[in-house]
Amino acid sequence: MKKKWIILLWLLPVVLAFCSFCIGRFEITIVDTIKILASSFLPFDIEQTWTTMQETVVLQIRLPRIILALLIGGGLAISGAAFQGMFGNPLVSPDILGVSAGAGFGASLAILLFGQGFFVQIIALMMGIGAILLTYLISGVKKNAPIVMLVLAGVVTSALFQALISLTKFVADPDEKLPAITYWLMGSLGTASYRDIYLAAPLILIGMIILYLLRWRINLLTLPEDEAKSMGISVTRLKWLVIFSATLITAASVAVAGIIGWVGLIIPHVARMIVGNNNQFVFPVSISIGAAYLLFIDNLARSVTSVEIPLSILTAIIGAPFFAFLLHRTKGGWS
Amino acid sequence: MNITVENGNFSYSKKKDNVSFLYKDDINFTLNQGEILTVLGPNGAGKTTLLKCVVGLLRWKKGKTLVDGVDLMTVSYKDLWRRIGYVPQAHKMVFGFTVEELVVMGRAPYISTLRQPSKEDRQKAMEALETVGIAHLAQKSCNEISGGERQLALIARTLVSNPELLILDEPESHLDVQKQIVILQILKRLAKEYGIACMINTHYPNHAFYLADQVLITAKDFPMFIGNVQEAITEERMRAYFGIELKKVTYSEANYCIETMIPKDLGIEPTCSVHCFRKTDSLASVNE
Repeated sequence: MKKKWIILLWLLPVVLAFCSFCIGRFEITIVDTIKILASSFLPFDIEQTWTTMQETVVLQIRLPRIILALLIGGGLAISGAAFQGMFGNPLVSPDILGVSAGAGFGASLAILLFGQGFFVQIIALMMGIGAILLTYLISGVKKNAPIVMLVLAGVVTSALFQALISLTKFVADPDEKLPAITYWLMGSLGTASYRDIYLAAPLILIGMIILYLLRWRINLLTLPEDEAKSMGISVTRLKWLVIFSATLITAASVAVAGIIGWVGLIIPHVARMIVGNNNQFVFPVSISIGAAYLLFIDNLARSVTSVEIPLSILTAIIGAPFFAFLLHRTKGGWS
Repeated sequence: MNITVENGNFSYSKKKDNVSFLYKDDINFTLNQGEILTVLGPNGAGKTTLLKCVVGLLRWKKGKTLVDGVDLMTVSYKDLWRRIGYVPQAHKMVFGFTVEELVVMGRAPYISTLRQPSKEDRQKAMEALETVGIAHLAQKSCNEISGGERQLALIARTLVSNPELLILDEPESHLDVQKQIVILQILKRLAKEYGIACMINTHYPNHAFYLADQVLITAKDFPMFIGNVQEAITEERMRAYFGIELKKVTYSEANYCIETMIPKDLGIEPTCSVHCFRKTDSLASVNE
């Protein structure tokens, strides 16, 4: 029975991905989609039954967008799960240490100075990583800084960068730049391109692989520090490895898609309600559900109205009631 | 394995010089294979600190711990924690792992960083659970079992790494009388059958009488005393270190004998007279 669940969970994002090609104003059937994909990625000769326009839409617009949604959804979910485990606190999300705020400020500043463009992403990425370094410095570079110091340092960093974001908004030209910044801060995959994938995918994948391999070790980090040490592991090194990986993922995600809330917070809980608390199972399930969830949200974002709806709005509007329902059903099944 | 503490002392103050040490005397003792050392002392005497210093979870400000003659600080972390098990006071977890998952964690020193526990690791966990007698709880959440069972699970978690020394911080506190006895019996069995040395913090002199080969008594501003049970736990010392009057009582029947301490201050007016006096009479007669 458990095997069945696992297969089902891995199939979920894949099936959803294929369906997503057919969603949008430009109509393409699923058969045509599969044919187009097969003809360009597999060594088959397939008789062309589609228009070049359709091919462009599938390959140049929808495919990169779907890939990014899957990557970012899965990545944010696994970093959320890792942080919740590491901090031993189910209320933690991947932006607790200030990465999102830092990257958000980087992006706003870049929009303010240079307008839209590749610069925005690079600077966002760099500021995200810079924010983590700041958190590290504030928390005291001491070897055994207690975890609460780290959280407080993260709060300080977040607050600082939030203020700087407000400042950029305040001085931004309200007709042109301000909407761009505001829209960007709410998260969107509307401009997804292969360039975004080349920038973000390696970082997100490296982070995900490290966290995935560490998934059992992170069980140990949920214990009080002395107990974790008495398991013969170097707690400090493991902690920073987790932070490093989650930062790569979060900073890269924010850099290409803006700030996407909720996924990293609730998806790990959904996973725990399904498979229990052992992170060996929570992590893979989080990846799969997170990827599927963000893809689903993004499909809504681009198809419900004629204008793109920012992602953070939808993740919360759809996520909150769903999560409330789950909480009610399972009575908070993680304890 | 034997563990020796040489001139150990500790201070929580961060100053480099002019440190006021936590213990009046430097600490010296040796604990050999299969021996049990119990640590007695009032709250705030630094019992938990002592345990943590002995195994390196806190650093001695002075002196050192030797493991088989080698300075503990030079032993690699992994090796050390294969040989030593630390049992904290039972507490609830944020995330309710199953008992089996909790116990498997103890195998961590044998599992390299990027690996997952194998079948063999889970096998070891089940064996340890059988040793402490709670194998039937393996799939229960460790937040849904009783405090005593949780304490047993934590002991099992240390057993999976085949330790030679167990460090236990008040393993029997917060437990009902029956669970206390179960824990004490298991600890004695681990020491005598498996040859595992144990260092145990406790609040109960009675438990020291049952378990200890050596007793260490400490209190603020008092010299530390180490010796065998009979030397260590005397009425005078308890009066001095704990500030209470305890009466030592020996009770024996044909095949067993029990030593215990009775607090005089808890005595009540002999309204239950006849009954009370008879009890004492019979005790006295047995002692003769």
